[in-house]
Amino acid sequence: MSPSLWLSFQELTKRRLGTAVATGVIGLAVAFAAGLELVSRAREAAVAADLDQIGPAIRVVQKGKTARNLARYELRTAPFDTADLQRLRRECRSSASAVEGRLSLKVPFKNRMISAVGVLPDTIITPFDDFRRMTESTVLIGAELASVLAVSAGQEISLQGQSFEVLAVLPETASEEDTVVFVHLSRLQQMFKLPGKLNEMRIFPAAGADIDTLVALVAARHPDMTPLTMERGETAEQSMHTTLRDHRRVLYLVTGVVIAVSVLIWSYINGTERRLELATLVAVGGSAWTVVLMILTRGAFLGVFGALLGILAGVAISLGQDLESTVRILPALDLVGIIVLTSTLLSAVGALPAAGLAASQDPVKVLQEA
Amino acid sequence: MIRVDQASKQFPGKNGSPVTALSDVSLDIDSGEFVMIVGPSGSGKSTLLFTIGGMQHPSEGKVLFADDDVYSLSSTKRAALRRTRIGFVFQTFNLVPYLNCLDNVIVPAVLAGKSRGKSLRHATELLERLGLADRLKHRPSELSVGERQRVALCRSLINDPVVILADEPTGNLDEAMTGEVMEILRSLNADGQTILMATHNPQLAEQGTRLVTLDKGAVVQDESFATEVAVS
Repeated sequence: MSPSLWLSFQELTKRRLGTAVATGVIGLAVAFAAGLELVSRAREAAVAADLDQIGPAIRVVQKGKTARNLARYELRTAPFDTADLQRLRRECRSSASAVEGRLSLKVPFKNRMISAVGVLPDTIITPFDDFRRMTESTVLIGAELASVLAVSAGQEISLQGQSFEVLAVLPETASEEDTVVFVHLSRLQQMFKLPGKLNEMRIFPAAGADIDTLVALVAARHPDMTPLTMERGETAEQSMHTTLRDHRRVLYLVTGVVIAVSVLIWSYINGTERRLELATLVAVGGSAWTVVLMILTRGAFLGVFGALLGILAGVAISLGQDLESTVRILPALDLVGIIVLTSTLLSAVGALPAAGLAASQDPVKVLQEA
Repeated sequence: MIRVDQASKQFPGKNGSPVTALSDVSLDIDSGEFVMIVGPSGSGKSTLLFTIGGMQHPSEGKVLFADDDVYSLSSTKRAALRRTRIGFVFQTFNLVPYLNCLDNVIVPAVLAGKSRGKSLRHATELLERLGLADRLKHRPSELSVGERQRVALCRSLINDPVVILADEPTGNLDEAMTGEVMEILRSLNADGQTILMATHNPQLAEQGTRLVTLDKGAVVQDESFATEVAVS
């Protein structure tokens, strides 16, 4: 063991209070950063999962229809049926988590044409639980449409001469679904005498599945269908990630400065208290380089101890967070190395000025003053 | 063995004029001598010890250790010379407060890159020899001042130095403890250890084999009385 290593280790293990305080400060800073990173990662995954549920990555419509048609819900025809849906489910089984069928039609309501979308309550992929309670005699209304038409939950409405109870007004999603009324699929098919008919199928890719490959598969096997990828969710997700990443970078920078300054202050106070000890070390055969190395090694040790403590605390803090999602926060092992390395380097850098001061002191003067 | 050749040392004074700490000091110290350096406060005793010990560069003159000109060596080699050939003892002991006696004693050995196991065995022998067998694991704060100075003496001996430079080693001790430490130093000297000791106590000055008196940085008296000490 090198003299500097032995001396720093002796000091850190035998001056336990000082070591504990310095390690604790670094640990707190690291815990903050580690907890933030873990919670952020899980939060991003949770939001991504929510976005996946709000809108599918791929919508399959009749050949010739465009995204613009979809936005206005003017599909008009019902070219698909339940057999097409079953076939698509089989074909996409390995790379899709769900395939859902819908029937979207224009219906008159309060002297205007609105989009009525037929969905099945037990198969629809949605973050809103109200869909699960929907029956053939109830409907759900998008937030914007409800506002424009002054419709509220519990009210009776009439579509195509048939009566429905408004089960709930859906929360705003900033999508075209805010302007539609959701009806039970079977009821809508009966109303328009289109039994088993659909005009849109939605594919929800499984985690890690390549969307382009899925689109190519649908396009190759179904020349009568147009698979359209949805960018709304991806754009929102990307924008959110970029914003969060920028904020996190600033917070990590602040954390790094806190670590370096903590070690700087601790090393400086420590070096001032121990001037006589360091001068004696030189008298009994240590060189200025020994003193510098000893102080840097000590700083680095504190960085390692603090980082390990902080990672444990950060994981504990992050596990205690409620993300209001089924996404779980997992300890990220890839963070351990980078956090320990960064903390060690920052602590060593923080100890550098104190090491320089200690090495430049005149040991004879210190010894004579004693 | 050690030659101080016309060494002078000036420090910048408060009013800008230099203060002379050593003035043209020349000494030849042979192996086995117990040199007492005496003089009033500020006479240059400590400066002379630090100059001989490779820690205080003289403004003029040389210090030769065997044939090595100490101050023509690099600072790294001077540090190596201090840890292998010189043992320092201070008035305030200067032990590391959080290390126990054994660990304090082996610090110079660790700095010299010696094996920790062997150093601990040697340190144990030294501490036992100086009557501290039951204090091996005690920290300095748990020892009397006399015991602390004995630990410091062990530390100075751990690398089997050619010379011990002791700066007022009894300055903080009462009469009984002073007697103990002087007994140890005489015993070491009797075994052939070369010792240079600075003191302002005239009674102790007579216990060496040679007396060098400094005044205002200059040697004003240099007297050997080896025979008398040998007889006593």
